[in-house]
Amino acid sequence: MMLELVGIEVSFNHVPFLRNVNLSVERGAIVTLVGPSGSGKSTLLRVICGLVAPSAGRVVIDGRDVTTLAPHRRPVGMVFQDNQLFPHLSVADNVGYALRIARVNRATRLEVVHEMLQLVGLAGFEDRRVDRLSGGEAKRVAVARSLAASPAVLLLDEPLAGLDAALRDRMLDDLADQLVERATTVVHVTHDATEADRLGSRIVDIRDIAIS
Amino acid sequence: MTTYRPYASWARWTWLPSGALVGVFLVVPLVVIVATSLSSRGVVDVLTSASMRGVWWFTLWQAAVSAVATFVVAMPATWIVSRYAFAGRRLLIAVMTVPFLLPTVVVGAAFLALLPPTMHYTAAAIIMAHAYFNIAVVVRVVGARWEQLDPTLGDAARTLGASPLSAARTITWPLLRGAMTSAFGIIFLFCFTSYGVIRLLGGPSVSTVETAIYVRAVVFGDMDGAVALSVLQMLALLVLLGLWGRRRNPDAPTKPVSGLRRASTLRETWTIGVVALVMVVVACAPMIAVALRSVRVRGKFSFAGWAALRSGDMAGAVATSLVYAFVAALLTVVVAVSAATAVSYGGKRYAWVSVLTSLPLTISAVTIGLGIIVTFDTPPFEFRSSWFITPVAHALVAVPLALRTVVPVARDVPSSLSHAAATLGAKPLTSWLTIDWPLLSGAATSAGALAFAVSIGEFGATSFLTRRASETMPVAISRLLGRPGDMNQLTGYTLATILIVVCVAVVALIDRSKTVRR
Repeated sequence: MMLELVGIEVSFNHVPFLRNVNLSVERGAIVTLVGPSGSGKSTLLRVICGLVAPSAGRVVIDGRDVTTLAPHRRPVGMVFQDNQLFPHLSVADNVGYALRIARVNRATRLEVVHEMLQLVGLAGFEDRRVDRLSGGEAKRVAVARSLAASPAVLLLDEPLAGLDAALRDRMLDDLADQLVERATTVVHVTHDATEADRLGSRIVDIRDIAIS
Repeated sequence: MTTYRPYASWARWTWLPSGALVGVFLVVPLVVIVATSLSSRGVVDVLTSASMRGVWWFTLWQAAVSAVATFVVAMPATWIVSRYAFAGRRLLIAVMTVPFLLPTVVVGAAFLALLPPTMHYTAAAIIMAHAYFNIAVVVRVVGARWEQLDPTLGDAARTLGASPLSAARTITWPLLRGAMTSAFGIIFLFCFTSYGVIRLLGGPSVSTVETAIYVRAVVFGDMDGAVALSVLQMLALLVLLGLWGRRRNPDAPTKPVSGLRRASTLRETWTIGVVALVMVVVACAPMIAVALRSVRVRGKFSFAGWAALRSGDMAGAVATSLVYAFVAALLTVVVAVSAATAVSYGGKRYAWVSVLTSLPLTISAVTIGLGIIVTFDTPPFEFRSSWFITPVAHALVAVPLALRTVVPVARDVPSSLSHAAATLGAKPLTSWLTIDWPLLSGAATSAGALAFAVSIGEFGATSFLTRRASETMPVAISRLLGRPGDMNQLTGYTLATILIVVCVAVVALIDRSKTVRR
């Protein structure tokens, strides 16, 4: 198992919000979490990457218990719902951020950035300011930024919300190809069932794995 | 739910620089001052002295009259900039803001330069200078509210039979009353604690509580009396603030709209033109007078004042001011940024840091200076003649302003950016250095520039701390212009001209960097 959630519990102001969540995801598998708004899907992603600490339970990645590990020490990447591109950095610097943090040398970094941008169809956008990007372009930069870090587990929090249907379908296909090719383990949150189908993923309803 | 807060634990340490600065150089001196005043007969002497009663009375009434005079001068221009859209409107607002940015000593000097000698050292001169200095308060506080008042409210009143005057009385005035009361209160407090203007324009005969503290402490060496006065003044300020806080009633909420419209009649156009022109003349004349007096004495042109800049004394004052301003700016940035991390990331538990660092705002600079010389006068804490004490006092004055520049920006950086950085492998420190700091550095630079401007014009605390060998420009200006002699006047006005240029340049830079960032 690449990712295991064991008995995860999250409380909000001492009121349990998610109870006894158990989930196992195999290496390279894509799981889509579905469920109504407010059912705790995004919160669960935040527990996996360490941005929210569970009040009970364990997060195990590749056999290692990472529950108490800080987010930056986990091999987990995340594409945020509203992208969270760094406003003061160019497209290239956003995409290369994780590599810069990991002290990857400049030449390799530029190569990876170029490759990633090509992958998401934004070659030539390196020097653009991120506030000049359209919604679809910003989303693709966010995806490229997360992929560039080559995380073992990639979390997608409604990555395609707010995009028009045609663009969304195209991105979904591209993304599915990429994820399969890289054998990345993915947990994907959406409340759009067609999105789940298109990624060719196993669909899990959060209400089935948690007692809310 | 415990959300990842990478910087939260830093607050445990980052409040320390601000805590040390305010604690050691403000809180301890205040405690010493209050303790001293309780153990001496100073309070009784000060309360029973007939001359002091005159000083208190003058301090109060000149503040009230100055506030009224400010409204008289500023309201016409405030009206046009908040009701009409016209070419040069923003420039006019900027021009009206400049007097507020000038060091008070320079404002005093400007009215010495502008007014005939028969008016020097009179209450009228002081009131005019106060009205000039505070124009910006009315424009900014009242104008901001007025600009957002829907003009159709007045139109509606007109359709219901109100004359322009009664529409103003029944609609505009009630909606502006809160903002006008606020502006009045702010100006009253500024004038109540005014120091630099009074030192220059009051001369030896006209005194307020602030200048009386200085005279007792520095001229007569009567520390008990000075300390007693400063404690009484703090009490008076507390009472005034309390009264004001209770009376202040907020304006009725209105839907903010842009109330600006273009002049529609020739008469309106002319009114706007005339009001704007008069305001530009009022705002610029005192500054031009200073510049002129730096090269003109007894009807003849002379560049001796500027040439004197090469001499030891004047060059020394300029150099001292610049060095102090750099040190104060650096210290302010370090203290403000670290305090800002405590306030912004530490949560409610560290809210007191912002209260503590606001403390210098409520204490007059004269009291800060007096507190330092009273407290740090015995070894091993004999700092009163150390070189660093003046920039430290300046930083104390500047930190609250700097913090107000940095904290909103620090809070505006979404925590989700640091979350994104963490999911990309960044340690908290790395994430702060690569994400938050670049987004904050502009505000930190502005805060530094602000501290520089505050320091280079600071006079209240400095007049207690400065030594003849290490005079700053404002202290030198006050000394030179307080004495007869052509050379003194020329060099005094030359230094004042330099201060005007430096302050306007620094503030223009801050403004520009803000515009660029937006």
